Amino acid sequence: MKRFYLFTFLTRKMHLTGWVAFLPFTLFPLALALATTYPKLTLETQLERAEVITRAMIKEVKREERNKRPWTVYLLENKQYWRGEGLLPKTLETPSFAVYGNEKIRLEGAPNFKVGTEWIFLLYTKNYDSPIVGFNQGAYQLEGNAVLDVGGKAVQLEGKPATRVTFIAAVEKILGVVK
Amino acid sequence: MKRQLSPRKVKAFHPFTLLPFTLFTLALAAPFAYTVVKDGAPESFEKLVREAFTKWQAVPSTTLKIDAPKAGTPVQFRWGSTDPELNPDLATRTILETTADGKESAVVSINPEATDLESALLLETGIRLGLPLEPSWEGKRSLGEADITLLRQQYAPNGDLTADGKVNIDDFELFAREYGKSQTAGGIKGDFNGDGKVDIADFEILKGNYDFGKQPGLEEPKPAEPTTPAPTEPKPAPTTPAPTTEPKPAEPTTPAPATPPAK
Repeated sequence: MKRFYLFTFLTRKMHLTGWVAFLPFTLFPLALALATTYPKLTLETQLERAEVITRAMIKEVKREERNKRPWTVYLLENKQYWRGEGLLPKTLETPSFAVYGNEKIRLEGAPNFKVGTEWIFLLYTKNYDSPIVGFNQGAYQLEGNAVLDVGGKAVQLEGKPATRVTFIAAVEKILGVVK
Repeated sequence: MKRQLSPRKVKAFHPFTLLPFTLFTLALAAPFAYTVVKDGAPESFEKLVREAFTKWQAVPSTTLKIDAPKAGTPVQFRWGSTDPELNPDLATRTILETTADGKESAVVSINPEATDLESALLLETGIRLGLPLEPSWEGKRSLGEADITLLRQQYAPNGDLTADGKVNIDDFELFAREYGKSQTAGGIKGDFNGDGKVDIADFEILKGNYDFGKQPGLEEPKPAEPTTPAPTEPKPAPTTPAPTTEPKPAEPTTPAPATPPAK
């Protein structure tokens, strides 16, 4: 009996039209190139521009309509403020911020924060499409000892991955300069 | 019974046989269309957007065609926005909306306060053309080699998604991943006829250009430049034609050392 090697069969013997039969099994979820463009800001610039600097947990995520426009509202459980305590708008008596969009109307590249995650947020207080400084650059996730950007990449400080301790120390050092 | 490709069928799909069909299909390729909304925008706005697209279109060896701005297209460029207000650090912002019939439209708002509009528009137009570009930049953004390769892969002439000058199994693998996708608010890889979806019509183009003469992963090595005069002794001619479907033995890739290594 002849041995059957699928890959060899596919690549060498089978008629190309026969491959069409395999196409439905190779479908990947639609992944569009999504982005809103922005120049990169240094941590110093971000901290300079921020009106509110806080370390907070995402307590709840709500969808809301404001002036017939869809918004995603993030309710925060603030742990620490470096700047702007009391300046954030409140939703259900809780400090919060809102990012434009919902499932059908999407702001490309907008961050999507999950309940229970811990972040250092650098925020504007005005009702922008995204109130985060640098559009989505001023949001740093504290996951265990690691510090990640909104894309899940490790944040670098002086060429090394930042840790919770080194990142907070760097923020406080810069704030000491720009205060 | 196992179905095998007969030599006659291989010949039937030789690229040259299907060249008229391919050219006809490519001629039907729909150009990428966009709208520039002039409300409140400076006179130069439309020109700036057009120049950014032109930079991409000037890349040779692609099937990219960009239409002159016209109303009613799913990609719209606007000057500024107050509803909702733009984050001041943005250069361009895109809002995607899915309509009731499942079609997507994109509204690109340009931040009038952006300091480097040229870089922003180059990046934004590239993204709208479906290129997976990094949305942020430092310094000045210009069209680089990596961008050109991405564009050639996206708007591959005749199915050459890897932009390596030939259509083979590597291109088919990439095409298979894209199959079934559709997008109206930007370009899409594998959409050779530019109709907004990757389907059987695109597969026909790839098939029409598929290089059946080469085996996957067994490319014939290019002959090295002769450094010494060619031998005068003629090579014996083969008595039977070599089979076209069998791979040739690969040449050794690492030459044997000329001298033994020092002890």
